[in-house]
Amino acid sequence: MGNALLNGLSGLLAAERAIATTSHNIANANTEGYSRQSVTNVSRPGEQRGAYFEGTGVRTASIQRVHDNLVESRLQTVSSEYHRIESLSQLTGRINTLFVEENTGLNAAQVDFFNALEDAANNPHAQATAEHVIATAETMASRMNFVEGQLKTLQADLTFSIKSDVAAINELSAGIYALNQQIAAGSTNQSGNPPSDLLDQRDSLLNELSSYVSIRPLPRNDMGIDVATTNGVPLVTIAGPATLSVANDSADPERMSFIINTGVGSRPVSEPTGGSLGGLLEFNRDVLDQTRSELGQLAAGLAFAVNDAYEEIDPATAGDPTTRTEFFDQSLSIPVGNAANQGTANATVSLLDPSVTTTSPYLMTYDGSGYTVTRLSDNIQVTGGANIVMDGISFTASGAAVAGDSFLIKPFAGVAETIKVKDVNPVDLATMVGATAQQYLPVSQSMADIRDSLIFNAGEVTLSEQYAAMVAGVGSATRSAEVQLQSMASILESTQSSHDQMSGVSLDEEAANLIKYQQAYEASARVMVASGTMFDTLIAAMNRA
Amino acid sequence: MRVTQSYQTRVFAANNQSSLNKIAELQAQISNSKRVLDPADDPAASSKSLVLQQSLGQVTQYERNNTYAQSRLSMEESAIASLSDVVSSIRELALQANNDAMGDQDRQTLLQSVNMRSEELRSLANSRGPNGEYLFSGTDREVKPYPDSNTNQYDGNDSFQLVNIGFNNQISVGTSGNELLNYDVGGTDKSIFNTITDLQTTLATPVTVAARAAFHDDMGALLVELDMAQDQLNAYRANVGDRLGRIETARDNNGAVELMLREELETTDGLDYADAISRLQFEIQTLEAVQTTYSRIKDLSLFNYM
Repeated sequence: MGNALLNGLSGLLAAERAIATTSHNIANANTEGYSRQSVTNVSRPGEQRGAYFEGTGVRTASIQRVHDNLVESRLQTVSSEYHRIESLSQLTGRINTLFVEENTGLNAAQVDFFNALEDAANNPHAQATAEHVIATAETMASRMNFVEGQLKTLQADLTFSIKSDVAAINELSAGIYALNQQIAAGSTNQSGNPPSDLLDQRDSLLNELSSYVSIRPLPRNDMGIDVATTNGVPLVTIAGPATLSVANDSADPERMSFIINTGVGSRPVSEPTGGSLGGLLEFNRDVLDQTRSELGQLAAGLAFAVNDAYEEIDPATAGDPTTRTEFFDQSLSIPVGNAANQGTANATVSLLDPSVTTTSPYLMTYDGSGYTVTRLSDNIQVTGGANIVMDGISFTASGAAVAGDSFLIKPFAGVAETIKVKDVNPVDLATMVGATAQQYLPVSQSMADIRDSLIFNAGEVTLSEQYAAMVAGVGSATRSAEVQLQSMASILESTQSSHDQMSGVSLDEEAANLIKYQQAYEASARVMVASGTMFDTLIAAMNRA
Repeated sequence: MRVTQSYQTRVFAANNQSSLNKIAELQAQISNSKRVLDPADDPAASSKSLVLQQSLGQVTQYERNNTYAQSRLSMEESAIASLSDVVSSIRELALQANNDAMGDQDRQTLLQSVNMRSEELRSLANSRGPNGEYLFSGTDREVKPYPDSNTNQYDGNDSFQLVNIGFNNQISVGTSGNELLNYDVGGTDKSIFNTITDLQTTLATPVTVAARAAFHDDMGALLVELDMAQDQLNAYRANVGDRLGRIETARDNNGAVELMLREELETTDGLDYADAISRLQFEIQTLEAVQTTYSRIKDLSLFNYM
């Protein structure tokens, strides 16, 4: 009879706990990262009563979250990849929009320029026609300037985004470290029963961290988790959160180099990969630089060909790059000396032949006796003195260099922003040029002929074909990123679904549980009432006796 | 499968978003009446469309070039016809003069006519074209080809301009006075002006009875030269006529090419309206279905019965 009361009480308490857990689940049905919790009840050991054991009721063994570590770690991996492609796709999409002809009009500007030159060749002495040539050339140059300006803005935005991603990573690392400590303290206090809600919070932070960078969490014995990036940069250790920071690269000011401070000192580390940060870095390296170089190559090739024709108006200076008369003001980008250079040497580059140029960056290094130019896309080298010609570009060093000094050269980066029409006198476009008596024509004619001349790609491609190919390249890169993003979105979706299926809250299930536990509660209460009634019956019987 | 609230919400949100995206894209295509709105929509098509637009721009210029070449060559043709007429009338005068019935006085009168015709010839050789340029000074359009009646010197050049009148189709514009008015006389290059100066000299000189035979010889030789000049002008006029014919053909071709390019551009990035609108209707139906089913499902809850 005493046992029945106590058993009823234990059932009442267990049902109460279960109802509390159910209500916790219901309350958190929409909490991001929450894993449903379930109650495990076990029967208490029976007491021996002579030949048999009498049950002693129920006990709550644990309240644990329903969770699968494999699903969790897959979610992190997929999230890293998704966010990498998402940032790549968004940024490439911005470039893509820049090359929509309706917005940019670069193609139409070329057509107008060459049409104006043909008109000028047909009617060389009309002032209005010649002025129209200059106006269309200025329009074309300013459209190139605009596009390159936008690309440069994108470069600046990128630097900002990289820095804010790094700040977010540091904040998340610190959060994970703090939770590690709370979880370790909680576990020791509560006899090994892990604090589910803190684990959920830490998983949320890990998940968020993996959206910025690809990570590898390493569980420790004290329930803490060490975190490193997949390429081995430590972010959270038992000693504390590490601080990631960026600095301008000494070799290339348009690049960032990464530094980690683990509390005991700083060291440079390789670029993190994956996540939105990995996507930003990949975009900078593979898409933005390439597009800027291609646009610059186009601008430089056009200007070179037009100047080559135009310089003939003054045969005395034609052919001399320093004194010749030019139509376009165009120069390749200035080589950047490594910040660690010991010597005082400077480097310059000039274009010799646009048809054999590449969009690769180059590195010019001094070894104490001579110079080497390395094409960085495939590490092909040309060795020589202070003047080296490679890929249609003349690389010239001057001044005193010290062995190990180097210069980074992105010949065409930024050229499209600086190209402009020189102070051309419209009358000069009527100047008669030509080597033979049979081909003595206004210079506008030989400039107009550039429309069909094969300026690019080993003398096989015209200006308009080169531009169309470049736009196709930008379009393909964007398209491929979009397609990858779509497929990653469905992979992320299905991974999140399997997480939801396992750990999410089903309100119907909770409603059923609520009914079940409510009934159990009522039944236990009834047991206690029955046991009380039995006691009353016994007392009443004793009073009658 | 264990269906949870967050799973339902996520699936609905994703389906709803993907339907809305497709609708927005179709809407943009329809409002721009283009299938390819940016290079990523179809990289190959957008690159091809740029090349086609360049070609269309070139055809526009070819048509302008044709207008220019046509008006210029037409003026050349009529100037050459007039030159030929003048040479013909000078030849008439020379024929009249080459007659023993004519006395010195008669020849003086004929000489006056030749002088007038000669001036006419010179001014025709210095004709100007549609933009005020000289027609017969090669490519030295601002240079008067025959400025000086005393020296008969040609100041132009022998160059010509090749004008694009269609794809892979050029025509030469610009006629050198040398080419038009010079001919080979016994191994020396002589112009019509030299012949006329010789004729003037011969007519101005009194002819004695004894000199008659020599006079007839000279006049005979000059008549041959005038014939040569006439033949040359007629041949050149035919050549100009041929070029004008080629321009007509090129214009017809350009019209056809332009039509073809526009059609190709249309199939490259243009929009098939019927297709786009039926796809839009389909997407709207899908979206409605997604939203309706979700609104039904979300109301299903055991809590409603408690």
